Amino acid sequence: MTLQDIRYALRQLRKSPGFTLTAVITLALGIGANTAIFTLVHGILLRSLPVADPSQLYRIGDTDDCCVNGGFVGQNGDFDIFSYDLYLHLKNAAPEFEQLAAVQAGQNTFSVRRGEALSKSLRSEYVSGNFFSTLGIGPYAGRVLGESDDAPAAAPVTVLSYSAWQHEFAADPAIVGATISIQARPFTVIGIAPPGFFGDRVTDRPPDFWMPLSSEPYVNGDSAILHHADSNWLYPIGRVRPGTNIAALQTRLSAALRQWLSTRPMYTDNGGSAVIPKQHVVIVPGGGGIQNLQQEAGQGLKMLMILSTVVLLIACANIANLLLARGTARRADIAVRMALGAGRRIVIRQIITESVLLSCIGGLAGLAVAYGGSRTILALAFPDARNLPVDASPSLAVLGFAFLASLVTGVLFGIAPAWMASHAQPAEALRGVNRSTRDRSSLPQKALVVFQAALSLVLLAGAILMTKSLGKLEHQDFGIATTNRYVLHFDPAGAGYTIDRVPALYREIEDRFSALPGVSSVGMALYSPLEGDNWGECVIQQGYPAPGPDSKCGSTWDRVSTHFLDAIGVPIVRGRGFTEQDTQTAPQVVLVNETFAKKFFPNQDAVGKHFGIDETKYSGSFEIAGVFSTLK
Amino acid sequence: MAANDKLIEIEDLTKVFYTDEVETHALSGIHLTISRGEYVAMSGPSGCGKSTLLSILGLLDTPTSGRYRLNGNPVENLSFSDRSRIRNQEIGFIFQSFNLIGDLSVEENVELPLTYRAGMPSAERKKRVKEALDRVNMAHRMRHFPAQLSGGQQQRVAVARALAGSPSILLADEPTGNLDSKNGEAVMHLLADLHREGSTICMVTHDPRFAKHAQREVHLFDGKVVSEVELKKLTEEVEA
Repeated sequence: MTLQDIRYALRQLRKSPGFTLTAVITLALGIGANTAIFTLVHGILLRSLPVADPSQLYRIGDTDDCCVNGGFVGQNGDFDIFSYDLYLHLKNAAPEFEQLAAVQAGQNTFSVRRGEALSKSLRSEYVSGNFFSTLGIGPYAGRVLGESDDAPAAAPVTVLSYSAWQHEFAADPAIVGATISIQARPFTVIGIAPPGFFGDRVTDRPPDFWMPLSSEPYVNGDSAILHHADSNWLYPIGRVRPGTNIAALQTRLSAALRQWLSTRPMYTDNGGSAVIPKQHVVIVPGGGGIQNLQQEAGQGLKMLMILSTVVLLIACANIANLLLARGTARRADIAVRMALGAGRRIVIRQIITESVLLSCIGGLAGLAVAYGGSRTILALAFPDARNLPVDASPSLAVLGFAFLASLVTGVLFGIAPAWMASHAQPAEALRGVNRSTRDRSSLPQKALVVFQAALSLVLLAGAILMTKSLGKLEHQDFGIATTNRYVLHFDPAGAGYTIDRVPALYREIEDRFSALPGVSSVGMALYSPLEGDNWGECVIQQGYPAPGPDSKCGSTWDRVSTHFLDAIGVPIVRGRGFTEQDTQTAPQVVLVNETFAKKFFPNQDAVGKHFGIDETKYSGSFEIAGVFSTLK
Repeated sequence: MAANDKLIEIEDLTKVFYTDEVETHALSGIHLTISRGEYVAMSGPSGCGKSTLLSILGLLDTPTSGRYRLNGNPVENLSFSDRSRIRNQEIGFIFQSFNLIGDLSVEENVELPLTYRAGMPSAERKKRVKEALDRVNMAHRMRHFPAQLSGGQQQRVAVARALAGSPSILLADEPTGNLDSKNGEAVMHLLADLHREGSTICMVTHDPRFAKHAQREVHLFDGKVVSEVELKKLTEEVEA
């Protein structure tokens, strides 16, 4: 590519502003859409954690089993989430890890208050004391957590994220060393993490602060799970020593896992011993952190990438066709050039220079489209995001991608016109293009139109199908009434309420809300519908043998107030609903949905039947008082 | 005439165009020799094959059969890229409609064929462009674009473009066809000057007034050479 080629190409583009503008807008949309999706792919799927030497990090476990589990997970024996006890066991069994940290699988929203200021709902994550040293992260101010902070008798401390320090504590340097209240318990802020560090995973709401695992019982009291050896709630991630054979380590850790499981009655009882041999762990690179969001969004992003590529191909075909049409008008020039000695390679180079230049201008405009596009997609995909660690601004990698996409695009849509031009007849310079014996351009033009139409059809069909699917998802029947229903979240523990004061608080909330004008019904629940959270247990029917490890005994549950089902418009189809007489001292009754009734009591009336959880001896714990219409 | 003086030797050359089952015999059994330093005019009525012959002489097209030697080398069966290279180095074209590239300045137009020569440094190209434009008195219009020039000026620039590469032969196709008589005469005088300075010229024209500038006139009819006249000798005889 010579300077003269570029100069000439620029003049050509300037000479036809209409064509140039059309092409640049088309390319900007095509390249912009691809760059926007790549911005997300890079930010979510390809990015490494901003930590020291991320390639040395490995995670034990490869999928998302958030957030608290007990017993065997899944049918394939793939263990991904671990109790504290099991984490320590694996840590001791794997000296190949220079350091092995444990991080909470799920995160909490805790009430945080400084002094007399209003409390804030901030995201927290329990991490082992070696979390920061494992990731190679030092403090921005103060110090980060250390092993000594994660000891049972250690003083309760926390480290703030830089973002939380900036936005929630007005970047007050005096916060380091100050005491803040977390869930009504005093914690000392010992430091601030560096800017840009968002933790161990890409998520739409990264932690605002980190607390040592040892403080979990301090915060959660009787419901703490740190020392429940059978409650799995931690993801281990560590830094392996150079030269470690990961496959051998995986084999040895799997053996250590099986050995530990075989000591736990929860895993050995009721035929559990038979499935222990297939339990194993998978060790995966952890440079990108815990890949929950990646696994969640990966398929969608890949689909978007394919769709945007199709859009770009259509744009290419469109512009190639325009160039071919223009090429007819430029045949005389090309013929003269060839008559003067330009070889086919030179002609191809000239046309490709022009198309690459055009696509680079389109790519530049596309960066603006990409920035706007990725911001919009992020806003749509993560409407509740706070401090989302995915930046829509073009990074070096994104700029590189846009440049590469522009080059490839330019070559792609320049090939056909260049090929046609290179086969111009030099003799036309003498006899004139109008006396040419044949016109070669119509066939590729027709082929491009067919190609464009085919791709458009594919895209259109995909768009229609996707719109229909989205429409169905949006209008699906969840089994609840949503019109004029509003959800409020209360956190009594965060406000310092002890468990004995909670029933009175709930009664008062219900009474006072019910008394508000316009409020017709008030219900309370541990988790509101469609929130995505719930608890699950293995159901043991009274009079049946204990379910084995492979049995599908799982069911989810929610704790609700008397009028909850009324409030969300869910009818009782058999038996009765809860009444004011169903108190703490009354016999324990439950309401089950129709799916539960069919699953556990097929061809029977479930009302009056009993079941329990944990062990067979508790199978009579709950009596089914009624069956309600299934809700999602 | 010594053998090495022969720049172009053509023997029994034919050209047939095939279009939709129709065969058009544009040239039939042409024999032609052009010596170095010679000024030849090819004339004949429209459709007689003048431009087709010029296309083949200029390696813009290939003959259907026959032999063609340029500078003693056979060129009738060369590949496309070899023909491009030889065309660029050995042949200078002057077209009826000037064929300047509208988006290139005068300087760039003249430089264009030189840019296709591998390895010619930019400074050398600039020097040749300047010399060629000086030779046709167009150096002062270097930065102009073709649309800013008159027809006569454009043809002078086209001549400069043909000269810049120091070709073995200049092929001119009706060089005055798109010019008024005054500018036409000026271009013919320019070609005569170039011939006097040693250039070999082969010009297609149907105008006998311009053909008389040549040393020899080759008359074509129905794709055949029907007569060759030594014009200079004739002129001298008439003058005597």
